[in-house]
Amino acid sequence: MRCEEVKDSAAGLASLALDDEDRMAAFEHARACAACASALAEGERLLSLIDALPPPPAPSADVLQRVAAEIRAELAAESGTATSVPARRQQRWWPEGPVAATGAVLVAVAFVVALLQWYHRPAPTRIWVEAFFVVGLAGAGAAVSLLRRSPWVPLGLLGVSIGFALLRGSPHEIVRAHDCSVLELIAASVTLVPAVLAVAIRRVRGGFSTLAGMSAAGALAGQAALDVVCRGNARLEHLLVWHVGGILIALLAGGALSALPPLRARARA
Amino acid sequence: MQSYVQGNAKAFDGLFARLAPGVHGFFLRSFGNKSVADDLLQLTFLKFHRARADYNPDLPVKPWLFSIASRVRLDELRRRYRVADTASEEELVRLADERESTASNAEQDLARNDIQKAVLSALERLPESQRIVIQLHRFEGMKFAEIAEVLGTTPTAVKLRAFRGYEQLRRELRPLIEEGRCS
Repeated sequence: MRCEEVKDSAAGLASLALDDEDRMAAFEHARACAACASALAEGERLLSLIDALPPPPAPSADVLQRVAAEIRAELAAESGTATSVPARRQQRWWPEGPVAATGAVLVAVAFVVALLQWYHRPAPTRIWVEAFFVVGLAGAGAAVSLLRRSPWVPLGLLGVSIGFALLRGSPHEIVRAHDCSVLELIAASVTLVPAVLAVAIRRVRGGFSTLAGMSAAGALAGQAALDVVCRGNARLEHLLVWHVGGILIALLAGGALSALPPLRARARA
Repeated sequence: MQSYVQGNAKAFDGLFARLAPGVHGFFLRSFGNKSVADDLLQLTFLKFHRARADYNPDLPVKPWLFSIASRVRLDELRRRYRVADTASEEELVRLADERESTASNAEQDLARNDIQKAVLSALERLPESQRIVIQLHRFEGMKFAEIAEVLGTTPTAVKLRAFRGYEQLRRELRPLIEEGRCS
């Protein structure tokens, strides 16, 4: 190493790790060069002055506690064991709000798509009101699926479907119409595909409940559309087999997708 | 860290206790204000927490955490100088270098003697790009390669900034250095 190199960078060279080649070369050179030895000694003295500075004041226990509590609360919420979550910070709602709203809008789109797929008879106002009520529940289910990971969300949507069938249907023989399940699965794909993409690009956390919930919510929107147009919509067996069956298939399909390795990795977030 | 990534709260507690003071000190040295450092510490750990699935277990945690802290620091500079999100780091550094000295710097208040005050002042006068490298190198004990990860640049560029910074300090503090040698 040359004198200029050592003198121009003495403090930096002295700051390097003891086994660094440049540092060793500089100190080797300084053995036979008093000027460079002096420069390196200056560098070492400078470093000791910097190291002697008092550490900055530590964060207060209050601040540490506040930050740790907020993250612990998030961890607890993620694991579904939260019983009392402290006040959430203000910024928390805004990135999640659009995500939830997107889920709800997708459900509405699924409803319209499903309706357009099979619109061939007018329905009385009461049926439309019921259909929109179910779409509302499906939208809420989709929003919650994206915000909270809980198996109760897809199961709740399945429950809505069954409950609706029991309320509306009266015993008759099954009207065979696998088209109803197919239409529900088309509606499910309208919500499931964007949800899978959102998980893949890390906009939302994945997991069984998220994808199963989004899929079931889309299928439920399809069921709401069927409520308007299906000829067997007053027959219990038909509703339980083809309408609830479609929801169940959609739910399981969403859950199965969440088990795929790339999406499963996201679910650990 | 792996345990924390999988949702273990106790693992987080250990990690937080170990890393939070360093991150807080990083912000305190950057902005010289305790309440700003408190807020940025909180923001950094929330971002760290939400991004933990992206953590590469083959790499050390500290540089990754500080890379998040570094981005939080840039966002704070953007907010402080009211520049667009698209403002480059170079532009922010230039604005930061033009700033007034932080007279109420919390570290200055802690300096026990004139020598320490002089060293802190000299550090304060370093260009922002050199000061942050020296902070991470000297106070956080990071290697140049790790600092390069944090700042999104090359180890060679980091080494160059560090060497220039150390040399400026050596020139500015030479009277003190020589005084120390005599005593």
